[in-house]
Amino acid sequence: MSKYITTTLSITSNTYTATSNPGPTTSPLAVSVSNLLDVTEVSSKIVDLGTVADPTIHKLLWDASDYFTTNADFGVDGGFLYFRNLLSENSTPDTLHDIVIGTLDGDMDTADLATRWFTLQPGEFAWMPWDFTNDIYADPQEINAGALETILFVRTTTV
Amino acid sequence: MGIIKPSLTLTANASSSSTDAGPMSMALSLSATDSLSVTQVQSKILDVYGAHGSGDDGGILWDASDYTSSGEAGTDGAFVYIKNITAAGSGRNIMIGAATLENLSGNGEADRLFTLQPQEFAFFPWDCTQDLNFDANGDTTNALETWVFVRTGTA
Repeated sequence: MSKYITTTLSITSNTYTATSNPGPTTSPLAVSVSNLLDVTEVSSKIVDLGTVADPTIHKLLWDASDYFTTNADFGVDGGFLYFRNLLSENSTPDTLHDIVIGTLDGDMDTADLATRWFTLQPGEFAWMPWDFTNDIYADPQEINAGALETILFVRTTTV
Repeated sequence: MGIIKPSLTLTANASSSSTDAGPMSMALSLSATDSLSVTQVQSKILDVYGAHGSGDDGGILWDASDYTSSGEAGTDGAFVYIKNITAAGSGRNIMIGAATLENLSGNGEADRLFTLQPQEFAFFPWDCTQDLNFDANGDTTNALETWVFVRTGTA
């Protein structure tokens, strides 16, 4: 039996002449999309990052082999991932609360590191499919409890 | 420099619902919003092709070198929006990958980040540490919409 989640994304901005929160373009932006996704398993976690022994040690978030049994076939096997950096910016902005997301089982904050997918600054979020072709890791800059929320919704077609 | 405001909601009915039953016994209602400082904005709608072979494997979605000379974590980067805007149908899957232009449809292909089925979308930061590429399993015009919003501070 199919089970569904609805995802909705909007991206808005004011014109660049607006007196409050001016946007990056001469026209206001208003992108809005919505989709109904057929999913089975849901897995959610709020992750502590860093340890006393190693405040910047990376952590496995999602192990691809936990979710499929045959092969990671495009358009068949996979899921949808939500990430959010739950930390607040420090009073003097710095990068200590940034969280790196990527596929390397190691330190991922080196410049131009191809296995670093992205950096989530405090409050930032991401929404993306995941084809189970790689494991996914988080790499913090310091020790923080309750640093990252991530939710996985597994596609119903996954075998 | 300008401000964009992305907002994402994830909702689901309880599994007992008679319409669009959800994957859990309870309803889900998650909402995330943010205010992002960006400079450059670019958007495009691309045609996709299913041919695979020498020189035929997809194309570059966004070239990292167009936006930064060095992808520093937490400094350089952008936010990328991608949507498969095709209608449902066979041969309409679009694969998004990193690294080199190649056939991204192989089982377990490690350079494939994800597959967008028709109408599916993604929104995520991108550190410009690699090019983002696309590939497809069929020929479709006006198939893939994508936007990039470059972080203020990217050098």
